[in-house]
Amino acid sequence: MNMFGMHMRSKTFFWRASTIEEGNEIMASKSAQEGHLSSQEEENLINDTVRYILSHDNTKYAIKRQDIVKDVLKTYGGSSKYIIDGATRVLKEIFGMKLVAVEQNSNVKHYMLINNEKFSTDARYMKWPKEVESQQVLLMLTLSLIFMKGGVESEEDMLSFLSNLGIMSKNRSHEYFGDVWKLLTGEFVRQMYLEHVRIPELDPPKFEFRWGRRAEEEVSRRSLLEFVSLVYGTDPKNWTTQYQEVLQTEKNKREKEM
Amino acid sequence: MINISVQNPEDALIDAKVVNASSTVLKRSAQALDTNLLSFTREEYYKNTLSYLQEESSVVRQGKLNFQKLASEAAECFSRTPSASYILGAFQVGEVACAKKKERKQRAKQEIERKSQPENVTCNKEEDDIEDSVHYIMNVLTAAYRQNKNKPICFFKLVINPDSFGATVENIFHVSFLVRDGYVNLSWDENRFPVIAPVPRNAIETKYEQQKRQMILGIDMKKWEELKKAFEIREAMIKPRSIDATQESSN
Repeated sequence: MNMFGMHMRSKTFFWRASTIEEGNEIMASKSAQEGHLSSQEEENLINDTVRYILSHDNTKYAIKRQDIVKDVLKTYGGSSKYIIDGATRVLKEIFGMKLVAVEQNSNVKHYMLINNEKFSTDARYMKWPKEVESQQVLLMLTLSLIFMKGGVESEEDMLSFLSNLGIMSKNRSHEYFGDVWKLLTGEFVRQMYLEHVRIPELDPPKFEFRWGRRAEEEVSRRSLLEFVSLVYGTDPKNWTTQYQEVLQTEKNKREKEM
Repeated sequence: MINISVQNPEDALIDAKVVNASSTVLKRSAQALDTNLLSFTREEYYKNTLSYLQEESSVVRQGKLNFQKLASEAAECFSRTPSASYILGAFQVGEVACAKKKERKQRAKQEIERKSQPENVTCNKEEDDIEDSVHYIMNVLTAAYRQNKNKPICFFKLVINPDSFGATVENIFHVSFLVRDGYVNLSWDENRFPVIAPVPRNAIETKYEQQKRQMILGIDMKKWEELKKAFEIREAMIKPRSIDATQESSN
């Protein structure tokens, strides 16, 4: 495994890979029917889309479908579904990344990139930049709390948990984590790791934290349960409810992939 | 059915509120219900986490916990894509390319007679300044040579500006133009010090017949100080003319 944590494929690593051309030959007949794009133009558009998505993945904010159409496809906006499908294929087969569509009212509005590789124990040796590292620790703590509490945690309870750990203190940013509250309510929400929602029909307004869409795709509940069991010094299977949920989620993911 | 009028609407409203409240309570109770062998509480969780951190780090430095210990645990929980970032940040494509294109287009449209004019105009201010300085130095040198009864002048006495190292280097640079074009003559005196003398006007025409003599010299601030002391140079022979140099000399 190279330093990017991706298994190098036996296929070539370059843009103009043989797989794209093979795939495009099959698709070329379809596009000839559509009558819009030549297979060369198609290939270019798909590659541009892939490059666009990869560079926007930097921030981990959701990539808007509208932006892809506006910036990359421009006049070819009509074939957007087709091009994005092609980009999904390239990302999966060559980069080992899964492009997940986030739907809203059965319309795809956003996309995000998830790592598609199945790591066993190698993941713990991956070296992330310092910022990412501290954010991952903070997310692990918050997401595990929400998970163990059944999927929801109120704002006050989250705050008290973090201050007990010594991470959270109003008006002061933490040495390792930075401005924790800003991360929880701003950055992580924008990156779709967390949802910070208002509890309906409560006055004065109260908020709660839930798992975000990205967390659902990226975070392994099993690993979180294993961490909690580690600090408790017990076996993950002793947490019956949570362990059931782990098994259920894994089953759902397996079925989805088929 | 529709004809039956509601007798007591206030009662119905209260009933609705009761149902709403009791369903909220039921929901909360269901959430609180725990069928685990082990129950999970926030308090226990944070306490266990803290004790785990404290036993991991060999030194608890002044009560500050090293959360970095959890980094490898955390990394295992995520399927994150690594992303490439740019080393130097965003690159701005300058407008220079466009401006040049416009200029060229306009030039092509101009008549042939006008062609010579742009060549003069492209001579920019910097080059003019250098030319002026070189002329000025030539004058200074000629005057000093005459004063010295037509004997060559010590090179260092000419170029060194005791107040500014930068001006000294500039002077050497300007003198090198004179040497290159053959207007001055460099040679050694009896003490092996470099001396410089202007070449008489009529001899300049035949400069190709003269031996082209060049001297390579290196100078740094330390040498500059030593030369100042050795030759007892108190005042610059070549007065600095640009604004920057006068500011330096006034310091």
